[in-house]
Amino acid sequence: MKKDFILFFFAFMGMACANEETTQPRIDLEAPVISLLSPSENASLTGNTIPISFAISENDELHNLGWVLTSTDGVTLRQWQTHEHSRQFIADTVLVLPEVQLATTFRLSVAATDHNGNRSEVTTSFILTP
Amino acid sequence: MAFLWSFMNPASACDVCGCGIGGYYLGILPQYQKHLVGIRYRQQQFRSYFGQGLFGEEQNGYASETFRTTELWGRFYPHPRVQVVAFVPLQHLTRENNGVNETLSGMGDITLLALYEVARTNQPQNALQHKLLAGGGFKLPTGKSSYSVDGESNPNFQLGTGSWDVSFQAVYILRYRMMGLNTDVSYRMNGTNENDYRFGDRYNFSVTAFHVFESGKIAFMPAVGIASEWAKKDASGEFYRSQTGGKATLSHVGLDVYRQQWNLGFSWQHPIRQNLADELLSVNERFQVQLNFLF
Repeated sequence: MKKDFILFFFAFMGMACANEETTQPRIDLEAPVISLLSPSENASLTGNTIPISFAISENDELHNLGWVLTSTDGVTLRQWQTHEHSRQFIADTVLVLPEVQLATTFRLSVAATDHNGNRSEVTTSFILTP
Repeated sequence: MAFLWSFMNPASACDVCGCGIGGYYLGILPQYQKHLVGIRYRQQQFRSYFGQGLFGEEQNGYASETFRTTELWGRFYPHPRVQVVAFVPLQHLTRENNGVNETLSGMGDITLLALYEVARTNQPQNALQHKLLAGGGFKLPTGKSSYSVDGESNPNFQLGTGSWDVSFQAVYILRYRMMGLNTDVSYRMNGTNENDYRFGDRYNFSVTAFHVFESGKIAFMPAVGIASEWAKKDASGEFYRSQTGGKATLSHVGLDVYRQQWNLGFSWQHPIRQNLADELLSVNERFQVQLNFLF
């Protein structure tokens, strides 16, 4: 009985495991890739609008992404974030800053994380002259 | 005894969350060699922290989850050395996140186990006795695992895991007169569900000391012990997921009362040390009450 049970048990477990995938998961070390198209580094923009355009690609799944607009001393002026599960994200929008009265230098940072703990950030500086 | 514990930033829809679904909790099995049917209720509470935001901003908030499980269970002996144990859980899960409450209720994942009595001493009652049980079983994907909000599905806030899982278990009981020690080791190998998500495998270990006091027709069995669980990281598709897995050690105390064919038990657990989901999840106190009929 003991022998029969042990044989039965291992046969049972073997059948159970037979359907399991043999490939082991891997640790993803690739961070999302950000292409910041606009504004370009050291761009000189006129008016009160900032065209923001970027594309993000990821080898697995995106998680959080967004941008933050700061002054040169690091004060946050505007920000936007969203959540995505896709591998690609494209943003093409226009930000209006009616409060700007003088030529001002800003920084725009775009960041993205994936579901595997990887993070990317790209920053550009530009001048806005009303 | 198997322990299972089975986690905003403004944009994070798929937050970390307690993951205690679909498991079994064996405990000290009362009065070996008798069939058993019972009902038990257990409650687990988790707190999942939002962590740092996308731009490194501190987010001090957290979400609270309470997992309540009412479970029908039974143990049957098809052979004097073989026992089959079945658990049929009914889940009631709640989650409060930034004033938004979510609730899930329904059947969880059924677990079936078979344990074989590998060794047993046949000594007189007042001598040192021991018993070794070994076996394993399956967890069936009977609980729904498709709950989503705005198209976002959190694998850790579901009634079931959606996967077929295999477990291996060994129980060793050492007893001298009215005192005893119950040691339980288990390993659960989780399968992949239809969303291509796989919960990390679980390892559990617990040791519990107990003493039986008899008073007339009633027997009291206080117990105290410690338990640990290690969970590997979950995987989605071909990659491991961050903010999953971890380990926790809990102390526990309990009291079982026996009278004729009835057993009423209570146990309470307190986390001593934990590092879950990259420290974004904490497990709080949890307890269980059970009423069993032995025949």
